[in-house]
Amino acid sequence: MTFDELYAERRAALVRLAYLVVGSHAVAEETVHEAFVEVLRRWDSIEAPVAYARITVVRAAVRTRRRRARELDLAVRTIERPADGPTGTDDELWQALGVLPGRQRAAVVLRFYEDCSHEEIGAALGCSAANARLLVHRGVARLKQEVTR
Amino acid sequence: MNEDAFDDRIRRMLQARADALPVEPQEWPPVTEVEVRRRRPVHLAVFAGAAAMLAAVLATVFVTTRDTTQQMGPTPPGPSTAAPPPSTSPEAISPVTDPAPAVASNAGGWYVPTSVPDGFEIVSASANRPPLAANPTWQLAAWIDRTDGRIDRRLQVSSLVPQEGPGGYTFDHDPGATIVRGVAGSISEADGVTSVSWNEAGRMLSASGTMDRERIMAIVEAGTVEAESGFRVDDALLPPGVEHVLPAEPGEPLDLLVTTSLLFEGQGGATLWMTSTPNEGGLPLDGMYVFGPVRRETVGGIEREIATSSPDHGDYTSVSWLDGGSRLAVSGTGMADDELLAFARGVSPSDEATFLDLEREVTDRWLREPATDEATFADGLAVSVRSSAPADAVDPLAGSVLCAEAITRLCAAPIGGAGGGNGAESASAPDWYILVGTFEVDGRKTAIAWLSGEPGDIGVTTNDPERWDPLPFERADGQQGVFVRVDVESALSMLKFSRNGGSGGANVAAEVFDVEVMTR
Repeated sequence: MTFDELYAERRAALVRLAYLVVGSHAVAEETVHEAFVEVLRRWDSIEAPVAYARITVVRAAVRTRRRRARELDLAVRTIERPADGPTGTDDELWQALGVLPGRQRAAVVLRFYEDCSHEEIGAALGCSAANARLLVHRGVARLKQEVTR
Repeated sequence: MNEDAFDDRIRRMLQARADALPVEPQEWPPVTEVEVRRRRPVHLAVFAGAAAMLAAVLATVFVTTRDTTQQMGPTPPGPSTAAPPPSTSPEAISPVTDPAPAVASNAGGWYVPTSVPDGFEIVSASANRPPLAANPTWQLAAWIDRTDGRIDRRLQVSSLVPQEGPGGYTFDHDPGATIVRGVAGSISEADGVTSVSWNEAGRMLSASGTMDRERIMAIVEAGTVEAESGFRVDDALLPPGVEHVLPAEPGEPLDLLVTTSLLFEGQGGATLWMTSTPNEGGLPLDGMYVFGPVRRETVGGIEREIATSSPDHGDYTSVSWLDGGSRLAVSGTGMADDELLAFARGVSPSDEATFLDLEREVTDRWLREPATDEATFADGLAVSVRSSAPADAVDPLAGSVLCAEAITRLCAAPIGGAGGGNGAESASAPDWYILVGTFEVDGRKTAIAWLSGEPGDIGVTTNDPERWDPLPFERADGQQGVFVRVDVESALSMLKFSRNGGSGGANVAAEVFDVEVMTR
């Protein structure tokens, strides 16, 4: 697989993944672009491009989410309520997702959207599988708490 | 709603949201249009090492971690993987060609480089100054071992009388552990350095050096310990070839001297750090370095000691010299000796204003970086953790600094901390972190810790290893962890930070974590 092929085949899916983590379509596009720049920079040493790209996107998304919050001087909660994404499907749960801290949110998205194992989530977030499991567990618990208020 | 049903609801919501997102197909733009950002990865140990090098003896004695924690303390630098942006100030240097004197005595202890090697950039600058007095009971003894007339092995023994009551501390040795001089102690060997510690005659003692273990233990066992004067060894009892260099006659009063620390990053993982510290106890040039073989060279009219670390201790070289009551050292990785000597020659006496300009420059640059986590205390003190680690770094908090912003602001490398869990012993990142920094905020000497979890025990350790005294602390919640803040009451106290329910923690001694001076 060439880099161009990876970009053509995976970009859309990665934008969607990033969108679920950062909560904004525009920011997701920007995040994925940044991530692909990183992938390109290391292309010669990457053995599993698809997995590597996903990890890079998730980490960039978590990082971007924090940076955007700071740049816009807004609470993260506000950032997570997108003005530029689709609406209409379980808005209550989507709003609740915006309350989660970045890594928790990324863990939930990887678990329930990407069907990642805890090992894969841990690899993406730079933590152990046990810690990934905890992130998912706490994320789901928080979501429940938010939607049952 | 049961768990499975709720999980399904999450799945459906995420899938629907993602599916509804209109994503236009695109081709990768030409490479020439792509901005390839170069980040500045630094290993945390490098940062910590900068401050810790000047207190290596005390760090060895007083910094402890518990359980399986990964100490982020005075470790020599490891390689980093990418290059920082090119430095623009000060000027790049050329190798030394002029042996004329370039450095004069400096009564204040302030020093700055007049140039830095090409491609290097200052990433941490900090200073501390009185009135945090040193422990008057602290004593240092040192010995050297020569091979063919060249000093190549060292041993130093430091000791002090623990403070009485709350805020005191002592070594916490298991009675069933190693026996040193007939009492419980510890012996460890790492990176070419053997370290021994024990309690005796009301003192805490620590021996550390590059001599082989047999020689170190022979000296330790041959000595005497007195409550008033510390550890001494009769010269007649020393192993063959070992010479006594300390204690020496005390030098001039050092009350007004500051301690400074500067850290630089270079391309290709090169690092460079520079420290100046009051020469407590009148340490001679011979006794300044313990980690490897040394040689002497006169550069810029000043005699310098040039030491190369043992292969096990990291690939770095250190140049040390004495000036006006201060001990100075510059150490670098990935640098040629002549390049390091040229840098050392350019280190010049300065004044407070010039040094603080450097501090301000570094702080301003860090504050333009995104925060890993940040929070604000009730009185308006804003604190943050910032890291230059790239997104795919094994340790996402590598190269972190702690920043405090009030009327004034400062970003500086942590002076201590710990990390642990699965990642501590593997190639993956630690599961938890504690970073500790110190600041002077509106006259309050303050320790700030960032913990990746709820705070647990926060306080000072005591002479009783089973007991610690809780300290009142303030907290400010970040997105990724919790910042806690305690007042530093005494230079002799040893602070304890741990996470709630966590297995590890960080104990940090005041002597090691000198209070940083906020920029004005």
